Amino acid sequence: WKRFKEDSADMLRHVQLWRTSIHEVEGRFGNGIRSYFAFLRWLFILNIYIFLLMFVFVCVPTVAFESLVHSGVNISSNSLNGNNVSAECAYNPYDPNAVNSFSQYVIWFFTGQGFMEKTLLFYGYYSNSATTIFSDGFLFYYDIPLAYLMVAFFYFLLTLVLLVRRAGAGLKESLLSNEDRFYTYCNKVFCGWDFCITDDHSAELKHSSLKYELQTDLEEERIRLRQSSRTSKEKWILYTKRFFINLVVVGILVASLVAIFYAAQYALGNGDTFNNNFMLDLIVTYLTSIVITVANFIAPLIFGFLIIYEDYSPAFTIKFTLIRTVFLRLASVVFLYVVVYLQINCKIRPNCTFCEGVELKTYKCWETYLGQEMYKLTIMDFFIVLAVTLFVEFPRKLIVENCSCGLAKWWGQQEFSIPENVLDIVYAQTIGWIGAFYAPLLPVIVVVKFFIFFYLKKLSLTYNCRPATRPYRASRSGTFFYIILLVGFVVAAFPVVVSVAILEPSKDCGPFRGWTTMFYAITASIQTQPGWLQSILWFVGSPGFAIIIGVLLCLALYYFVALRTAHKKMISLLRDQLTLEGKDKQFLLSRVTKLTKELQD
Amino acid sequence: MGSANSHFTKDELQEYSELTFFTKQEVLHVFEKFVELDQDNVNNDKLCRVSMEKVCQMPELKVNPFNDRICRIFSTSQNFDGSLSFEDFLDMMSVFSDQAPKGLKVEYAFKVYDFNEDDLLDAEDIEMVVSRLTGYAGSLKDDEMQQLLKNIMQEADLDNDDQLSYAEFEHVISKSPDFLNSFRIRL
Repeated sequence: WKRFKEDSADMLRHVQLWRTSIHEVEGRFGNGIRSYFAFLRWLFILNIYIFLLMFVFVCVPTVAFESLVHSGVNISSNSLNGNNVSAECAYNPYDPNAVNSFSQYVIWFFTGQGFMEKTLLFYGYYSNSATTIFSDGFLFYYDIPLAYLMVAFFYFLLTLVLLVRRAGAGLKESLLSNEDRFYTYCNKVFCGWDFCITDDHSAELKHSSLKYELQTDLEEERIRLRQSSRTSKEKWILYTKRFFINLVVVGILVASLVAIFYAAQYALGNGDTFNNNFMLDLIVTYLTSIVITVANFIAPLIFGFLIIYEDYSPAFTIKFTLIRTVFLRLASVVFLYVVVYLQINCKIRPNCTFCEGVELKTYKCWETYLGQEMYKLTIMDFFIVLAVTLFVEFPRKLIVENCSCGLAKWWGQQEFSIPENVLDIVYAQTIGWIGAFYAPLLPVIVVVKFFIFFYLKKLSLTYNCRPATRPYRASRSGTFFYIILLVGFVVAAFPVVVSVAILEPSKDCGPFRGWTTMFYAITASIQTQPGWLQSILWFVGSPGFAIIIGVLLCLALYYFVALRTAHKKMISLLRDQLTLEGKDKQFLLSRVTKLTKELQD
Repeated sequence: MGSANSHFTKDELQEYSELTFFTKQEVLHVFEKFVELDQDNVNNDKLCRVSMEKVCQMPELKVNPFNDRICRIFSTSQNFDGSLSFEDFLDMMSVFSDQAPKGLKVEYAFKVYDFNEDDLLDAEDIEMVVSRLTGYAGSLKDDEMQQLLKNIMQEADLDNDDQLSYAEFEHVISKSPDFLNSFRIRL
């Protein structure tokens, strides 16, 4: 029976997606790279969930109701608010009767404008109607704006729950393994080999992973020793170096944000001017994406180069580079969002006159424009990674292998840089989260992208890269990825929450047209509920309730902090007891040897 | 199963199951495994000895880096060639089974790791253990090995004599959470 339980647990693990690939990678390249691929897999599955949520609850009903209208079922869709916009201000991005060149269609496909705007892909397509279907006495009522909002809320909540669980578990593990400073080496050497291994392949993997672990531990210890033995003069020099390098980093950050600002302004101002020149049109619409991607590409190289001079331990180097690059990337996305909003929605600017608050006739639907920007960023990111892998890494390998000139030797063979690759996918995911609200089908694109990434990266790893020369602690890095993702999540959630609660939706497009805020969809539906439910919900939404919850949470927090301090004290007490016990044993052993010697004489 | 039954009397099976941690069913299962190692000789004479090479062909031992040590310590053969009779084999499987107590496993683990068989784990023994562990992946560099040895001695050697006696080994290993899970072979 026990065997059956173990076998079934084993089998469940076997069924996990990409398990064999990840296992292979672990054996050849160590735990750190394995955690990257596991992270990619986790995100892939998360995106599938998000996509399914959006698809089932928003896209399918929209399509279904449209087709049902033509099929004679007793169905009626009513717009949830009666505001009508005058003809010249109406939102009409695409005229299906006009004749356009093929190249125009291609441009539209890549920039998300024209015919793409009128598809399910973008926010602007969805109607703000509530549909009722009568059939055989059944009344089926479906409110699309409410569904849209609730689905968005749910997928953010789902992501948050899964992420916090994962990050929390990893944090617990890493805390535990940090406490276990006892007997790490003895444990690894004497209990390292699993006697249950029966096949050759697993044995090889086990040998390499044991070797990596031992080397990692030894390397970390050496670095710790070196760090603690620095003289104070060395320390001062190091600190000044670090200070200047940090200044340079901040400077690079500010420079990229300024570049993004100018690019966004130019793109918005000149979107329509090069109608005849296909390439130029494409480049201008993609200008912001290009600038962001270039900045995101160059800056990490510079950071990676600079951090060598700061002389941190390998684990900290990776973390710190990650933090810096993450900051840059997320800041650029948020900055783009802010710039676009400020440009398009002109309530804030003093001289806007046209069409109920929208300055530029071409950008009547700012949500769709944002969705398009995210779409463009996703595509650009994908192509850049593809291009770098194919056109930089492969030739690099060919050159290094076949030509033995000085350049090849200096450049060296490619090493799989984990921080950068993790950041790539965190960035792609953050764009995906923001974009999912404004372009509901963007998660599909992200899913496909991650799928291709997995195999692309694995291929690149196997053929181009050599194992890392600086082994580092993997499990902590694994947790760290999820924490970085959590930061990305907060950065993604914040603009969306702000836009739902505060910003005014476009007047003529999307499921929230005509209302003062998007959140009104929920308040409108609350008003249709029975009285007692309404008063409960109003109470839940009121500040009083928030204050009560806040106070309770603070109390719980205080309790847990107190518990933690108590546990820490306990741990140090127990540790001291253990060392005392060891000393006792030593004493007894020496007595025993003395006595046996006396007996023998 | 039928042919195996005819090899042992009821009393013998009873005795085996009392002396080891196995039930009678499991004893017969172990015998089947033993027969697979060297069909012809064992079918002729169940008390014969199977050479070490053939025992190490068993899938559970084939990839184990310590398979020769295991065979040697369980072998009761007069000419120290590591060959195992069925009783030796049964003994070995019993120690590695899940029902064996921790103390017994620790004792045998000590014997496995003690390459020069002097009842002490000195630097030489530990070096051998580490190089067997890293196996195909290549061994550690010299200075890494020295650093590792120093660390191990620091952790485990309580009386500072640069070698681990059985008591010191037992002290370290019994604290380890992984030992029971690693040190077993399931048939």
